[in-house]
Amino acid sequence: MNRGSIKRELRRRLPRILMNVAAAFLFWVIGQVGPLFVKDLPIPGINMPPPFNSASSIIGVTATLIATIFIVKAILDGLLFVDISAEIITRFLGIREKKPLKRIGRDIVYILLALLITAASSPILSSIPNIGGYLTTAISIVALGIFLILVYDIGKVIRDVLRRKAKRMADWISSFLEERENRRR
Amino acid sequence: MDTVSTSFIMIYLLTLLLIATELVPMSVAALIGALFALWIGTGYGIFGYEEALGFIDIRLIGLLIGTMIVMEVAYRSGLFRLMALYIIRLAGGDSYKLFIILCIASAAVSMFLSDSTALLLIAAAATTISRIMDYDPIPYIVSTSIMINLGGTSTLIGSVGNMIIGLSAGLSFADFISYLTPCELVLWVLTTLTLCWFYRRRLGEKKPVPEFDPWEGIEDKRLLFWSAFLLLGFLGLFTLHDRLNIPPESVALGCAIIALAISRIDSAEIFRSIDWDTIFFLIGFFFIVGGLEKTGILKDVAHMLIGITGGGIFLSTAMLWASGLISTIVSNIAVALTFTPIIRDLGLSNPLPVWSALIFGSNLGGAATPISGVVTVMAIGALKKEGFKVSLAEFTKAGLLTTFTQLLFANIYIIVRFSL
Repeated sequence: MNRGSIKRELRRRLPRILMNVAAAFLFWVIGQVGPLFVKDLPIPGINMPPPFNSASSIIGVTATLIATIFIVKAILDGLLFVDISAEIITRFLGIREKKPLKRIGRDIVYILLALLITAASSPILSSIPNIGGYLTTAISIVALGIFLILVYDIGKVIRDVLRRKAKRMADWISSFLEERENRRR
Repeated sequence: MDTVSTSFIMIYLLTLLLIATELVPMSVAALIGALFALWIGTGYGIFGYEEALGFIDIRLIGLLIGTMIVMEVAYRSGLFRLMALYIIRLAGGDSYKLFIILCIASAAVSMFLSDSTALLLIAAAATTISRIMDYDPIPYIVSTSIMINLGGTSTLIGSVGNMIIGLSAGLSFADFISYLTPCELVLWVLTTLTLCWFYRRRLGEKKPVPEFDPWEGIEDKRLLFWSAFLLLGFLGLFTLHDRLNIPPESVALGCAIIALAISRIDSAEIFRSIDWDTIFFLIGFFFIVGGLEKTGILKDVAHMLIGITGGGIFLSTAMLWASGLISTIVSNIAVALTFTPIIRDLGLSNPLPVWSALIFGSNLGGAATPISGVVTVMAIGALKKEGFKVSLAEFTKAGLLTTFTQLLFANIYIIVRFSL
């Protein structure tokens, strides 16, 4: 993905993400506040066991469900940016391999390096008075971030391999069926 | 398992992965591992700096450097080239005869030369001959790389792995000959016949050999005779070092000094040709294995091995196949360095069968695939330079076939030799 297309995607998706997050927040607030106004109010016609026949629980559950849908939509839009940021970080780390096995190998190398640097620097950092604890937490969070991004990259590589294999298999099956059809004619 | 133990396992895996992904050279990978091992080991109070320095086996480094210098001087004198050319003349244009002689000569030369030097020597001879005789060089080069890997198993100085195991187990040069050579000789014949059968249709037809003088390329005959004399003395002293009560590293370093003194070759040039990559790899790996040993992980592995196999001949069999299969992927030096402390921790009354199994396993797995060892990678490189491309599948077929045959026979030998 080049810079232009990243900008275009950003312009298209960012407002959508913000709107979805805002809507999710609104419905979450409704889910929290709404039931307080209709407390103990039964709804006739809904044959559900209590407490699911009360207006408060129905408002609560419905609002939470709608908020979840908006959050999922925001996450789906946001995933592209996770892809982009993962690509930027892996490139920054020097992982440019196209061969899946080698790329996974390098991802694991960097995961191990991040974890080992954290483990090795912990005793040194924690011995610094006053800020030692904060520094240890900060470096652990950075290591965890790198860990998650690289594990995501491994997942992406595996998904691409599986997609390629599935496509090849589908092509093979379709050509096989076509050949059989032609032979029958 | 605590944080430190997990960290040391991660350091070990990181080093192996750094080598496998070729992110950095082998020696740098081990030194990165050593840096982490020192950092974490001292940081968490597992060992101190002084204690960590003791992890390096200086005797092994001495043996390695000494042997490399002696062999480099002998190599530069043209002694090995002369031997190779006489062998080719002996074949008399018969492709089968040439193939068999080349195979046996490769194994014999690599008993004393490092695998990479032996391959350079034999591959150069094999490509020249196949060009002259118009033979396909692939069967010859692939087979010599497999035989060179096999030949290195036979002696204490045949491979770095053997030096590690030999010094750690207290096995002398003569012990290697007495315990391993009977099996080795059969393996040479078995592997040559297997390769002969595998490549039967590609060896070429019988043709007259063009005239050549083996002595033509020898520039300094004095150096050649001195080298031959020194090499004989070197081997003689190695054979008798335990009776004379001289440690093998003293023999190697002593002969190296004499070789440097008599060769008249610029010593800086000889020092530059030492395989520093292997030496620094060893130094780095010593720290990693030392750390693993200190955390008690290797002891746990040893107990687990005893628990699973129940000791005895099953333990030797497990050691043979485990080290053999692992060294098809991992460098055999790393395999030897990892398994050596484990065998020491087993506390066996007669550890000889297990040591023998490790020697066979760690060496024989080194030529199973094109990426199993330096010698196989170099063989493919030599063929590429000549304009020939050997497929991964073809090499793996030949490599796996011979490795499996060798491991199977070595297993039978260990059972017969040590339990009857």
